[in-house]
Amino acid sequence: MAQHPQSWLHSTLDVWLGYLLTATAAVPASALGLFLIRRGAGQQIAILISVSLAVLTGFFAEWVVRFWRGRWLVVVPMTPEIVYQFDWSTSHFVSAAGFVLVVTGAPARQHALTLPPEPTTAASASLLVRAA
Amino acid sequence: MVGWRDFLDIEIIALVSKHVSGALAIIAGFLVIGLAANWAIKDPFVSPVVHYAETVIVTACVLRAIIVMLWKLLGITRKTLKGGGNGTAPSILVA
Repeated sequence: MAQHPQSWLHSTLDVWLGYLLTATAAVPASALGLFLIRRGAGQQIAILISVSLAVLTGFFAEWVVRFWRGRWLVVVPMTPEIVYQFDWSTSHFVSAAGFVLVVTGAPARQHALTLPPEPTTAASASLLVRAA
Repeated sequence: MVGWRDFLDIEIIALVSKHVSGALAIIAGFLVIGLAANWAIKDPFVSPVVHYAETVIVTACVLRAIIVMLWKLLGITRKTLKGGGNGTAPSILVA
């Protein structure tokens, strides 16, 4: 089955997720290290244990996340026709045309409050605009 | 002769940039959280705990970056030296 290639953004986010999981796992690991220090263990030993535990837990958590994501994620094969339609519907031209249609097609307010005409003076805005 | 420039391709640059940026971003985020917690709590008991946790977080992220990058670089190097498969010559020897 042809799979949609993983984009650069997805792979970068996957890499960042691994670091986030490692840093999150480092919090309980540091709590364990502090507990060991309190029980009389050396500081270097405690840091070594904490860091090792954090890294290993991070790898394990990443594996669990990938495993569960792989179980639930359904990869849909994209045929050339679907790719063509998807590209066409999301092209810049169609997006711009849709924006223009929505903006210009908005109905004007029929019962809008009409203001009295502006008194024409030497300092009126319309004259200033016209002069510029 | 195979030099280090033969291995410096876009795949390795992308790999290193992704891992370095990820590690730096997560470390910076957790350091900011730790500094904010220290600043907000201002407790002589909490401060060394936060400092210890920050040390473990930074060391763990750096260690993870080193391990993963070395592992992937080993894979890329093996792939480069092995060639494209199907009996083709190694890509660096072709070049």
